[in-house]
Amino acid sequence: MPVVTVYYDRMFSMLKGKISKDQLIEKIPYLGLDIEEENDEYIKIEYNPNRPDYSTDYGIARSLNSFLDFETEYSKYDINESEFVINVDKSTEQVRQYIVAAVIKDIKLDDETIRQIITMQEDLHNGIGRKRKKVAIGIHNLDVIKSPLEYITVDDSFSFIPLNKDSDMTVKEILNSEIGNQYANILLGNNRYPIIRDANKQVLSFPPIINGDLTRLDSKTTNLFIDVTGTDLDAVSNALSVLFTTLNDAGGKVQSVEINVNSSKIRTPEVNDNTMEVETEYVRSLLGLEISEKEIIEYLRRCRILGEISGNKVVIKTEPFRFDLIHPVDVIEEIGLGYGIHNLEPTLPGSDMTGGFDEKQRFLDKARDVLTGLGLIEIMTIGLISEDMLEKSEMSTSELLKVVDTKSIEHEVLKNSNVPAILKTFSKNIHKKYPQRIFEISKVFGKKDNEIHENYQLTVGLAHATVNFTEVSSYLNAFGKQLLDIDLSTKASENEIFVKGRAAEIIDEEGIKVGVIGEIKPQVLENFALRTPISLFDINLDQLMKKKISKNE
Amino acid sequence: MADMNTNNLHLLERKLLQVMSNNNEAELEDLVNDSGLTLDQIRRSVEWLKEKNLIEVKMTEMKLISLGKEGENTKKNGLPEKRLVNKLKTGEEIELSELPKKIDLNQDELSAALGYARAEKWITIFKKDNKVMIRREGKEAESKIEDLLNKISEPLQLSEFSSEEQEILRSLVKRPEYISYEVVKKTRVKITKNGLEVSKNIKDDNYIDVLTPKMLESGEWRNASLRPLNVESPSPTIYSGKKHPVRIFIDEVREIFVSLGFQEVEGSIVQSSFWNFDALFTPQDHPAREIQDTFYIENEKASLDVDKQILKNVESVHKDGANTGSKGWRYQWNIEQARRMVMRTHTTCVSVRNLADNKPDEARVFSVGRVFRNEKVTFKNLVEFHQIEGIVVGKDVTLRDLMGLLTKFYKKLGFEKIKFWPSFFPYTEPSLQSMVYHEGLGRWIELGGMGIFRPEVTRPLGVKNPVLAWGSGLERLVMLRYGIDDVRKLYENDLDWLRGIPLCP
Repeated sequence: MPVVTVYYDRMFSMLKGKISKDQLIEKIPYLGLDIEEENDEYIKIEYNPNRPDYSTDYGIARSLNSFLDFETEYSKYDINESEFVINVDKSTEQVRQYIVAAVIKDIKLDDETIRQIITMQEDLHNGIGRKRKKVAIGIHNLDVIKSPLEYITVDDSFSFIPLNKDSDMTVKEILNSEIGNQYANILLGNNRYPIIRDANKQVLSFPPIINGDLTRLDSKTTNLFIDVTGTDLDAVSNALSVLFTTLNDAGGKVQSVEINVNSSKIRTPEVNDNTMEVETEYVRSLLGLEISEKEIIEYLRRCRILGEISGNKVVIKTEPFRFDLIHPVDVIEEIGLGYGIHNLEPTLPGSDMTGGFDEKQRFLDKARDVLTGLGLIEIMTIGLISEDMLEKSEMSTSELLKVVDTKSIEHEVLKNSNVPAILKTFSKNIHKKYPQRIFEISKVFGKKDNEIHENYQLTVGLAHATVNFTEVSSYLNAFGKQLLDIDLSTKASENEIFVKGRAAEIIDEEGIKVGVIGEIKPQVLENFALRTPISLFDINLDQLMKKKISKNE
Repeated sequence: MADMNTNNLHLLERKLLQVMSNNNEAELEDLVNDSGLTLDQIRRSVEWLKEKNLIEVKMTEMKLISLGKEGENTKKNGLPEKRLVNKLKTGEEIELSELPKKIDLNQDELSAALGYARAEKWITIFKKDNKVMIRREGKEAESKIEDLLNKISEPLQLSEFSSEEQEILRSLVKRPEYISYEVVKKTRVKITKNGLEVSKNIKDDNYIDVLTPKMLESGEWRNASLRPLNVESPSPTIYSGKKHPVRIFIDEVREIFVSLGFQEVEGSIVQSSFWNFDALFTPQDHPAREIQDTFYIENEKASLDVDKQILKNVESVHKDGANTGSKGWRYQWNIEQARRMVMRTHTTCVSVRNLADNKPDEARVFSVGRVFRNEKVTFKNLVEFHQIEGIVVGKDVTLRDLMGLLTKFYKKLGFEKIKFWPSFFPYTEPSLQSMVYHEGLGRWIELGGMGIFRPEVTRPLGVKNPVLAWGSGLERLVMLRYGIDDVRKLYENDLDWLRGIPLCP
């Protein structure tokens, strides 16, 4: 989750009332923000990506001022028209369709303000921008740009000086460079590339890859030009809303830019009211609070939402960056926040119900009772294993279900058997006291009729100097008898993991194969560095369960 | 001490003392034959008897000398250099190259023998007419080495040799495989004066040590008394069968849920993206759906054998909110994305499938199950962990009810103090986070998240009433219970740990 660093001195200068550090730290979580780190100078605050307006200290201060009743007014966004125009070439439709822009005048950019703005830009790129795929933002020094601008496409031999370079690079070279490489996949498959340039044919930006060096910001910059391009109109407009409102709060004067697309003219940014209607009764019933309409309006105000009662509804208007409110329940949560979550008294639901265990799980409980009663220790292992473990067990590695791009090679395939994990467990415990008798009940995975199939599998493993087929067979019989009162018989059969002539299939009373049993062959023991013989049985519990559950019906 | 009550002695101690009273002093190994006990039993009783001052234990270190392969050979055939000179008469001169014909020694042995014989001044080697010659001198060929070798028929302690012999032994070390030298540690036990007296008492009593079925049958037991045992001595360790500690904790959680009126459900671990994400109103380009976080299964697509109406509803709720009162995510939903198979990333998909299947107006349902995240394994992260999840459906259920149920739930788990604050989850609104106070640690710890399912989740499934939901990781709680700070330990299955975990800690 994204994190914003908030320096106390800046924060206290932005807050319009008095509050101590301790009170501040106590209140912040009740806005839905997490304090990740604190020291004498600053706090690091984690926010949820659905609220990118919290990506700077300006946004957090704005919310706190209302939440703490330091202000009751809303920000006014008076947007004058600038002389700046962007002419959009039709060819951009195929590549990166949407562009919006804004001009910010008279802003003071000290180092910390620049840092906050860059963090906001990055958070917007990664969050609603989906790593620049959906939204990419360029922030430029307005004073070096001449209107009208154009948004066009070029081929990969087009060249300009990219940010922080001192000579021309072609689009092709940029895409193959370190920075270009990170985002080149977004433009993959195109032979035309989007470029924003000004009336002097100077390049502002090659979205979503990199800006031109020409418009680079520094602490002397006071006027900004912002472009936002992307593949989703909502997303680019939302990103621009966060940008212009924040820069407004940072002291800038916001001006609009004319965008000419297909001979129609629009001006951005737009100040969007985001109105919505919420039934007051819905508010009361979801929160479990008998609150008056007046209170509803008051709690909304604390969250910077303007509410007006209209019949049995409250009609709300929000600031332009509150595009996270998409359903009345989102507004109800805001009312809850305004009320104060810490003020909510827990209650219990009126009706009472009878609980119960899942029948399958109940069966597994009983199976564990029998197995622990036989003196076995239960082990639990991870459901993803490595192919190496199967190879060591001399089990087939064909038809495995694999996960894509695992970060840990120990966990690359869905386990199709508990046996490797049982052997590995014995192998890790060679210095522990023998006899060792263990079991695992776990889901195993395979394919059946072209569908992924999972079932509960029991594996019992016995290890000590004199263990043999007879002993493990006794455990199998006891398990069948004590759990289900059935005879599980053994039919001689060969198996890759067992000693030849000391392996069998387990057959249930209907003659169906339900598992295997035998003495592990020495080669497998050696593969796991085991010096003690092992016998085991492995049985499909879903098969056994079927009988039990159908018996009950 | 001498009048110590012999009844306090363990059966093994009595046996050993009796044997010792005849032997006086012995090595542990020798006592095996005399007593009929195993070495292990002897070791244990020696420890106990030593404590009672009835025997003394001496550790001795013996340096044992025995013959090597060449040593045995020489003992049988004689010293090679002696055999060599005995083939020659005093004053006889012979060409060196003639020697191999006269004596059965290989080249190495021969040159060694020549060297030793020359050092003893039994022979002289000189050149004559460009030939290397050997002359047998007058000195008698006598060697104490043979006498020494003859003495060693079984391993002997170094101390059994005279200092002159020890000198020879040292010189023999230079000859490969003549002698071998081994240090053996031996435990010798000696009965003490007290021990001797106590052992006399043992002989005199007429207790029986073991009650046999035969005695019971014959009634012989009537004329005998069973000897009292040392019932205060420690016994060998045995272990009970046991469930895994995580399982024990899961069972506890399940019981709490049932006691609160919840019905247990379970579901598949492998799920389609549809149930894991789409049905939970997670947009298809949401970061949580990326490969870096989620385990997708290679080349597997779900047939999505789902109620067609539900598929349609989910599609349109993503697109424009449908009739739920929502704006939706406003994008073109793609069913192919929904077909991708995943290792479930939460158990919420189980709850949601249950809602879709039953469309309850009122219900309390829970599950405890394994979930997966594509993460690097560290002391705090596993690729797989357990999630606890409960949902409540009801016409009048509220956010405060959810807080109340959770307070009760955590109370039953032993947490008296609980705090709530706002949070965010994509599929609940309002959403809260909880913290409980851990008395042992003396601080607040973050536990589960909760909220009311968004109507965009429940309506498409055909569920009309609000659904309260909460979820929490399980491992964190298990770690607190057993005082573990590395989550990997839970699934290492160290048998000492598993055997040692008490059920009522």
